[in-house]
Amino acid sequence: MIKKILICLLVTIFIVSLGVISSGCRVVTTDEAVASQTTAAAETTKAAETTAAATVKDNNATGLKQFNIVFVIAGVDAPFCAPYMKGYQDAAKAYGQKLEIKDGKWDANVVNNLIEDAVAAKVDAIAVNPIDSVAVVPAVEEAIKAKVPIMGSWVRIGAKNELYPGTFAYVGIDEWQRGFAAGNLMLKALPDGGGIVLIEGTPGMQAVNDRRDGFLAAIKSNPKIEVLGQQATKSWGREEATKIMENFIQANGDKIKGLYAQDDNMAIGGLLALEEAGMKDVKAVGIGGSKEGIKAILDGKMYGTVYDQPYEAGVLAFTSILNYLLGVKFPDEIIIKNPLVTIENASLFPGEW
Amino acid sequence: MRGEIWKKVFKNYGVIIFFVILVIILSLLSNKFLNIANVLNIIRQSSIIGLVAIGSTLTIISGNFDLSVGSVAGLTGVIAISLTNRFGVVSGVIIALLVGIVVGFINGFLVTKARINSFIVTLGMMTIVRGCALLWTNGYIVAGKIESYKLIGRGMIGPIPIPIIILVVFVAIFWFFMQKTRTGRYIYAVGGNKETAYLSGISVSRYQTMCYVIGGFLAAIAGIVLTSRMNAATPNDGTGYEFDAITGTIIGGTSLAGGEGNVLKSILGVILLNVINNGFNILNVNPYIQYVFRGFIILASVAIYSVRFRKE
Repeated sequence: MIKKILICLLVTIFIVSLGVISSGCRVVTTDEAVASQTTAAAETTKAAETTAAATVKDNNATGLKQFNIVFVIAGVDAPFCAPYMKGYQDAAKAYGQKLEIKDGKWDANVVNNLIEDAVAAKVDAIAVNPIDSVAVVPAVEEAIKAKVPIMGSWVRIGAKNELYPGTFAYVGIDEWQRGFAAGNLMLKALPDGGGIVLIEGTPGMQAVNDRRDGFLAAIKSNPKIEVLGQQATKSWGREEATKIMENFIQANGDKIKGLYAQDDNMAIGGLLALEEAGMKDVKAVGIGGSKEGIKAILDGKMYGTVYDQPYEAGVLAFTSILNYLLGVKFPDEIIIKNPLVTIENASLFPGEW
Repeated sequence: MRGEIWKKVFKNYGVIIFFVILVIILSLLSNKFLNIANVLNIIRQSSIIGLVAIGSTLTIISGNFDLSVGSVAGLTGVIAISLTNRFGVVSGVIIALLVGIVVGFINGFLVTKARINSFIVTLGMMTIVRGCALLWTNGYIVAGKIESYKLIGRGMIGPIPIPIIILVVFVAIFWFFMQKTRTGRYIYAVGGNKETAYLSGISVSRYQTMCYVIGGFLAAIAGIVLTSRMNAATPNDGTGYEFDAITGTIIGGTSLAGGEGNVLKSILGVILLNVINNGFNILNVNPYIQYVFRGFIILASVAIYSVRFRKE
């Protein structure tokens, strides 16, 4: 008897909670959809996107052939992934295409397996957002051998900074350049030099190394800037960044004049520790241009950031695939620009994540 | 006879001995380490995982595992902040706590009534709950809009940060609950020997379910403190908290076999982990070396207990 009551109770709870969850989900979706579509700052990419879209449309005034396209993404649960996937999805919807997004779960091996699955299923094209440029090569080679068109998305395929032979396109960014740009922001923020601290993402990730190396290369030009500490979070977490910053403050105190966090989420975490320690003059530089990051810049809490455009990147990548499949001429390498944001121009950037 | 004494000392004070040694070494290496500001800093840094670890200690004492707590902290944090944004702090916090309790109850039900292995149940629940957090947020960050919500994680009473006070209150409650109340002693009995407890007329399923409910509730509090402190929730908040909490619990001397353990020592275990992080950060040790060291320290502290087990 008790068992039956319990089961009834459980089922009700499940249904109720599902209802709550789905209603919560719906509200967020519309908010975010509006926000990410009103992006204004992406002139260059937007222009490229419209031309690409225009060519596709001109060629097919009366409905396109439907293709089977697979997008293997590194992971889905980082804040940045949502607008990126949405770019792909919106483009696919606009052109009436079938798009399947596969979650690589932040595991290079899973990404490779997903590519192999797509190759075995003989899909029309694969876009891959690798976790590691080199680790993904064997699976990409398999796709090339099986003559399934494949392209790199956001992160390059192969160790060299060029289009991997056999892939039909690359639409993405240059992480090293982004780190370098962040370094330039720091140079501007601290013309007289001083001590800085670095908060990094997950150790061993390629993006982490590139963002660090690019940054360090840029700040070399001012020998008065001294790196006091350099620590990594386990998972790009904001709370971890707060903790690391608290510890940096314990160790270095007022010697800290600048903070470089490898993304805005961690920069915001670091800023909390600085705020609580009453160190409001420390210049913080991030990467990403998250909504909160932009707000912090406008509020005068953060010095600057390197703006990300994941939504546009997704749209552009998808249109590149379509252009390729339809035999339309298109640039096979599109490097998404990363505008620098400071208080002077922050109001132009809405932030995508 | 002398061996006996040492065994007892290690058994009861292993984590404390280790703790003291570590603190001495770190204070010798840096003069920035041992001062009141840093001590408060470390305890506040331990408070969120500490809350989760109280729950882990209870479930492990009762003879089960709970791997879902990290995801629960994530989901409840997301729920608390989004509902607070829309309906105010009180409803946000209450509903988040209820969700934690409900997930705990479902865990308990599946483990005790459906008799599925607790590892499997909570592993599944971990994924389901994480998925719910992703669904709710659609993968985006939810930023807080209500100023008063931030107080929970950032406020101070006198010189003491509120998260520390929350931790101390719950540690006190559950230490008392486990050591001094009949229900607490029954939980030890259930975890120590299920058959005996059952034959003595103790309802095994009731006490085990109770531990899951408490675990879910405390995970929800951790989620609220976390998102309040950050004034934002990401759907992957709390990832890995279950392992940090279980690590702290084990370092604190709770036996994985059940029936043995102490809330207070688990918290010391969690603080120990944060002392290690804090010390490494202050000394600015290379992050790669930190991973190796942390692993060594976990193994070393647990080895103390294993030696004890072998002798017994």
